[in-house]
Amino acid sequence: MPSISRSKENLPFAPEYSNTIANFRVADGPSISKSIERMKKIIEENERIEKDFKEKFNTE
Amino acid sequence: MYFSASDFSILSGRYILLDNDFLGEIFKDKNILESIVKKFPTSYLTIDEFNKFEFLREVFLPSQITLKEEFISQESIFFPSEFHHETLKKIYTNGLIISQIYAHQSASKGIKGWGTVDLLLAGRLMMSHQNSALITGNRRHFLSCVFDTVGLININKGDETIQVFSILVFNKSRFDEKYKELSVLA
Repeated sequence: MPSISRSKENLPFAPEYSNTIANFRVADGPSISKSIERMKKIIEENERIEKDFKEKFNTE
Repeated sequence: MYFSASDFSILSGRYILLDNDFLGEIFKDKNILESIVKKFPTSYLTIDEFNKFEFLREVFLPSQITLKEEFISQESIFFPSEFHHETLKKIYTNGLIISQIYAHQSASKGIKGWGTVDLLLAGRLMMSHQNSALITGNRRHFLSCVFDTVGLININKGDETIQVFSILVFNKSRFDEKYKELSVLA
């Protein structure tokens, strides 16, 4: 708990902290590279969709 | 893209939350995506559920929604945030306290109207202050009375302008001071 003078008795709220650290799996190098390549393709695909939309509807 | 900080090692082992504006930049630029992943190899890039909501809402084209969903679902790159009931209660409580501190600290300046998602994000940073950080382009939504800037990311927009993103961490000792100041008003 934080070292502050106020408590739940005289406050509507008291600060909440957590020491929880989620135990996520850390990705290895190859899987990161694979994800980055896929994400780059998604970015390119999104650019293409936006470009087509702007050309089709003459918008900016 | 240019990074500046006195010492990036403070971010090692931390969950670096990406505010929606920075996530949007990553989604638009392959170089930014690659740079940010390589810059913080010992940190965990994290998308908060509230930022995920902001990122996915108001997309006009259905095909873009599918792309965006797949983009942020890359588990090798983005770590999920805790999103269960007990966590949300803490985030809500902290966000409300931070809003009160903001209001108190900014009363004389007439500043108000902080966004709900920004306050909830601030609440999460406060809850996990020892192991979290935030990248945001909206520094003024995370006031210096409780948040420290530990680094900057400058992105050249290609039209002679540079957009600055701040890397922030929650300052617990300063928060405690401001929280005590609130108690005087009670």
